[in-house]
Amino acid sequence: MTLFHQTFAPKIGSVYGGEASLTVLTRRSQIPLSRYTFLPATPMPDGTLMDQQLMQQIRARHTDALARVYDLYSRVVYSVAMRVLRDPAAAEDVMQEVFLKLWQQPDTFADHRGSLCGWLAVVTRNRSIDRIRGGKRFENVDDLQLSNNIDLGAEAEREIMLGKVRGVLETMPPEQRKAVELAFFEGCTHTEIAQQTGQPLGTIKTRIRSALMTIRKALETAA
Amino acid sequence: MTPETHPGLDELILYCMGLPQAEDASVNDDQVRLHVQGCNECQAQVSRTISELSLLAMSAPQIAPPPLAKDRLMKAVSADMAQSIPSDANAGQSSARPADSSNIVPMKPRRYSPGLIWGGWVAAAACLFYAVQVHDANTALRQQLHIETTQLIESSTQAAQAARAKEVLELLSSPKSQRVTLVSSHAKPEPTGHAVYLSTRGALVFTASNLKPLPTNKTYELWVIPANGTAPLPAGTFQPDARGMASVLLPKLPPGITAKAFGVTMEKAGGATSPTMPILMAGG
Repeated sequence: MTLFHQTFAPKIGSVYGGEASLTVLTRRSQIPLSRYTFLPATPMPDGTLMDQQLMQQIRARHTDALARVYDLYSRVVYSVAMRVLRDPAAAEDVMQEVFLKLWQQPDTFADHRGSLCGWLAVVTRNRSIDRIRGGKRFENVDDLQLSNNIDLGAEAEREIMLGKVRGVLETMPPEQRKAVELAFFEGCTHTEIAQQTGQPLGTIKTRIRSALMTIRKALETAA
Repeated sequence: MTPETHPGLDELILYCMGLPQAEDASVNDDQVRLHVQGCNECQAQVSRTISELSLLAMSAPQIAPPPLAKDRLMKAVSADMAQSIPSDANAGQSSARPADSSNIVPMKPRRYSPGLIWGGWVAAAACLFYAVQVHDANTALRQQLHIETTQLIESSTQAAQAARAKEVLELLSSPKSQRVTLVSSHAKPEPTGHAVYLSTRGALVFTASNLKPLPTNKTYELWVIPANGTAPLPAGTFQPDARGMASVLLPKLPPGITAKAFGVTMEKAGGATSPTMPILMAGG
């Protein structure tokens, strides 16, 4: 039996600037026995503050900072691109484009725009839809600001919010979910969705609006 | 619609999604954009909607990017940096005098026989073939060497690692072990929690210290945040004692849930089925 002993800093511990370490003893059979140290969440810097510090370093041309941003958010960016494009090569292209743009034009993400993770998710969705539908339709949208009510930079809070959104999507009426997914993940217009589903334009509008209001309500409850 | 009239929610949603307004809409894209730019109320609504849409985007099934993608990105970044340096340097040399060509003697073109040309190509092809063969053999030898070295290291350290791991496990599991949390002598004690979690069995032991007293009808609740992105799992409620100590021992949890993080929230007495913000303690 071979045992491995690893020590590394937990992501959340490092987010909050703590000294905690996470020790994991695993066997070859990958049975994780994990010891986690909890830190008080309130008095430490939040995820958005860490995003700002990383972006300052990127503006100062520190490649390590970009590598750190990649480590933190590449999974989100790649997953969003895959959801829209369903093609690993194309999804990686979009991911590279998004991170390279962040490096070359760091001021496109202004600190006041909220969480970097949320902004990257939206920009990736926009770039991916540009790729399948052609053109650059989203430049105005990339400039929009995210609300600061939710700290999407803090991983634990982001996961809880995402759990809420996924829960809402799972319990949503299928036709409502389909309408919002066609609009958001495939960039279909109301008219195109109406044609695809055979439903009147007004019904499509109502379904999309209701879907987003249901998500909003769930997030309000969580907050 | 004049710019003074607020767009409806449907119009703002389409604007946030970057989609054109519907055929039957009373407003066009430019009218919505112009209005939003000058209206704080609509900007707040747009920010909120964009945040919700960002969560919708992130709700996509989580897939890890290809392992080499980071290397490719960092190479592209290095290339980008290298490209910017010479262009800066060239900018400084743009006024430099062009090289003097008066001393350059033009070379007389040489003629080669067709046999010599073909012979050269054949020799080059033979060299290339030989180089590929040598490279393949070299790669195979390196891989073999790597495997054998790894096996040797593993077998020689196996016994020592096993003995050390056994000792660590005995220390951690022994009820006689003394457990002390050390903090700075000047620091005000902060709430701290420790969790030991075995995902294959769904077994969890959690201890906390320096917890603040709770208001009446409130309880602390521990949450396991699964790595697969599903909803947080409640892992037991707890109340601190007079010294601020508390523990949760082996709460009912399904086996096989890999945890991404753990959190503690304050809930109404009896606990909740989903966590209420804010997260008071977090780790993962």
